[in-house]
Amino acid sequence: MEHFPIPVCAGEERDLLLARCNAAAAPGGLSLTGAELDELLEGRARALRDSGRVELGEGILAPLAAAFASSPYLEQAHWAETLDALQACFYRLKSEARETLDDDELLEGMRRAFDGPAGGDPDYLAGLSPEELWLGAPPPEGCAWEE
Amino acid sequence: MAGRAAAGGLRMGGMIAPAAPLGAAEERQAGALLLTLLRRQIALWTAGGGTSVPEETAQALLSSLRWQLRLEDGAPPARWRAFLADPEAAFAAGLRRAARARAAAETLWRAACLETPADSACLRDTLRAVGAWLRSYDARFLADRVPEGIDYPLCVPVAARLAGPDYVRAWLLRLRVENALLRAFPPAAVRALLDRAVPLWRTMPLNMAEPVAVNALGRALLGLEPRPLALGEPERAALRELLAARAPAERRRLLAGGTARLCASLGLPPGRWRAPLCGLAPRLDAALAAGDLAGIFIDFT
Repeated sequence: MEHFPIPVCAGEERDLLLARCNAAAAPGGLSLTGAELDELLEGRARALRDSGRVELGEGILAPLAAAFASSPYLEQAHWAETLDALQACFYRLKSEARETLDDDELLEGMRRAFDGPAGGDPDYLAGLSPEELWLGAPPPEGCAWEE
Repeated sequence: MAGRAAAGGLRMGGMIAPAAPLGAAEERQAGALLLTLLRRQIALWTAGGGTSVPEETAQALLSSLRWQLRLEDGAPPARWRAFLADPEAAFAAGLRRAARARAAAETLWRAACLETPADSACLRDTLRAVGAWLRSYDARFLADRVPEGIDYPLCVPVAARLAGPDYVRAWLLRLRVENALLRAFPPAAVRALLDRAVPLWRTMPLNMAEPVAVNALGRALLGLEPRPLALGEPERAALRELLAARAPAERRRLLAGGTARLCASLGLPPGRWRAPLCGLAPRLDAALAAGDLAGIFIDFT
């Protein structure tokens, strides 16, 4: 199957998206630069391709920023990098869940796991299945509470 | 657009007819408009629950959109320009056209259900599948999908380029033509002939009309009334003599004349039967070369 064209987000549209992402993340004191957004948009195209998905709208970046901005584990130095990992995780989980989870439900589950067993590590989320995410993720290895 | 899409300059296979003499600006505009409509379709499809869809879903929604807009590969430039002039009007017209085609298909389906002989389980299941498709058809999304479960083979298949309710209408029209032929003969004679010609016809996906049409043509070639379908060994011997004595081209003319006489005597449209019956010629040539017409005209008295 020929790949779908991913609409290029540029100019005014890109500026608008940057403003939206930064407004969403402002409560957590986080922000993106234009260059970081450009890298995130490249990451988005890659993540969509890897997960076999098509997105013609503005994308999930702003909702992701809004959902995670208040997490105590986030800091400005790694904000763009974390967002990139989270969006890749989002599209993968969305596909693996076979459209059974709305975007909002998925974001809620990701945030719960991120602040919970993941301890703010996006790589931990990358290893979760939609079921684990939704039914409760196991604690990371070495962190299991033992008698 | 010759394979180029407006958005991002990436490829979107054949989105615009390769031969269309649209200017580059028109191509870009058309691609962008299609993507805008597709974006809206995706939003409606996900009912606001998601910003993205699997690529297969996007492809299916785009294919549906192009069918609704009649902008499939090879669409004339005038149609693209009408779309460019007023995409919303083109889309609304597409929805109306799909609804009309579906309604017409339903009318045909109701008639076909009433007149179709109930003996073939495959045909019964196929009509049931078409009924389920009609009930679930939604002209807004996946408007070009065809029913799954059309397993009953027609004498002449429907053109593969047709889609959605257009395909279903064409399929049902052809079925009704075949039904008209079957109904022209006593049911007991049809069943007896089919039992000889295609013994598993009641359970397997086997066409019922073709063996009936061929035997009726055999009688017409001999100058007999097509009813009651019977062809014994003397008639087959007479057919062998009649056909073997002629050159292939003359045999084809004979088949065409026989088809015309058969249709006239049964009140059937000859155009619908010309292809399957005149298409017998290569099989006849081979059977005559082997000296045996038993596989074509069924011994049934």
